[in-house]
Amino acid sequence: MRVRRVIVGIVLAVLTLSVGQDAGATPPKRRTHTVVMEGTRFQPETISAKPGDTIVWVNKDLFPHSATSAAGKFDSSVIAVGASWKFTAKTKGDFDYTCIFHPTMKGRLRVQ
Amino acid sequence: MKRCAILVAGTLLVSAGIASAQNVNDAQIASIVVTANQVDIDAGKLASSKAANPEVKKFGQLMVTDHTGVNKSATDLVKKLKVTPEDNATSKSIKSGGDENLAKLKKLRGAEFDKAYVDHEVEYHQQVLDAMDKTLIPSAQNAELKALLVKVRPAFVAHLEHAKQVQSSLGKSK
Ligand SMILES: [Cu+2]
Repeated sequence: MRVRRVIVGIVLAVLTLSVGQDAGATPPKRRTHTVVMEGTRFQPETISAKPGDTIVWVNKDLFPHSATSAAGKFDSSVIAVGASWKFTAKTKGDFDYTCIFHPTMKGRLRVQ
Repeated sequence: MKRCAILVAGTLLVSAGIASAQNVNDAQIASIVVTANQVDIDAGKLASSKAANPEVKKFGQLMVTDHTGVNKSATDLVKKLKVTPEDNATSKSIKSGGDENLAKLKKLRGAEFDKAYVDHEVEYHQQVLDAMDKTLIPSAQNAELKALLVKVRPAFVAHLEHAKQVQSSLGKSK
C-alpha cells in the first residue's frame, strides 16, 4: 500500500513536472532584427518581425539619422554615427517610418 | 577578328582621350571633396542663422551636420593614406563659386534670401553629383578613396531631392 502510494506520488510528480516543462518548452522565440543605416538609406527597407521581437537600427553612415514612425508609435530621435537604437515590436501591422532629418529615407516595419 | 580588334583599339583610344581630358589624381580628388563639402558647410551656416522660413533654416543646419560628417571621414582617410590634398582647377572653381554665392546671399534677406539659397543648393548638389559620376569616382585610384566616394554619393542624391522639395514648397507658399 505504502509502495503504491509512493509510486502514484512519483507518477503524479513526473506528470506535473512534464506538464510544467511543456508549457515552458515553447516560449515565443524572441528574435533580434537589424536595420543598417548607410548610404542615406535603411537597409533592408522593409523588416519583418513578430510581436515581442526586437529591431535594432545601427547607424553606419557618416552623419546622424533617426527611425521615426507616427503610425508605429516609435521614435529613436537622433542616432549618432556609430550608435544604435532598439525597439521591441508589440502590435501587428505595417508601420512606415522615416528619418526626421532625411525625408527621402523611407522604411517599413512589418509586424505579423 | 581583325576588324573586331581594330574596333576595340579605337574604343580604348576614345575612352583614354576622355579620361585624360578630365584626369585628376587622388590628391586632387581629395582637395575637390574637401572643398565641395566646406563650401556647402559655409552656405549652410549662413542659412541656419539667416533664413526666414523654418524649413530652409532646418535644411541649412542639416547641410552643416551632414557635410561636416562627410568631411571628417574624408580628412581622416586622407591622413591615413598620407595624401596631401592638391589644389586644382576644379577645386579652385568650386571655391570661387562658393565665395560668389556667399557674397550674393549676404546682400539678401527674408524670402529672397531663402529662394536664392535653396536654388543654389539644388544647382550645387546636381553639379557635385555630375562631377562624382563623370570624374571623381571613375578617376579615383585608391580603393578606399573610391569606396568613400561611393558611400557618400547617396547623401548628395538625398540632399538634392530634399532641396527640390524645399524649393517647391517655397514656390507654393508665395
Ligand atoms: Cu537620415
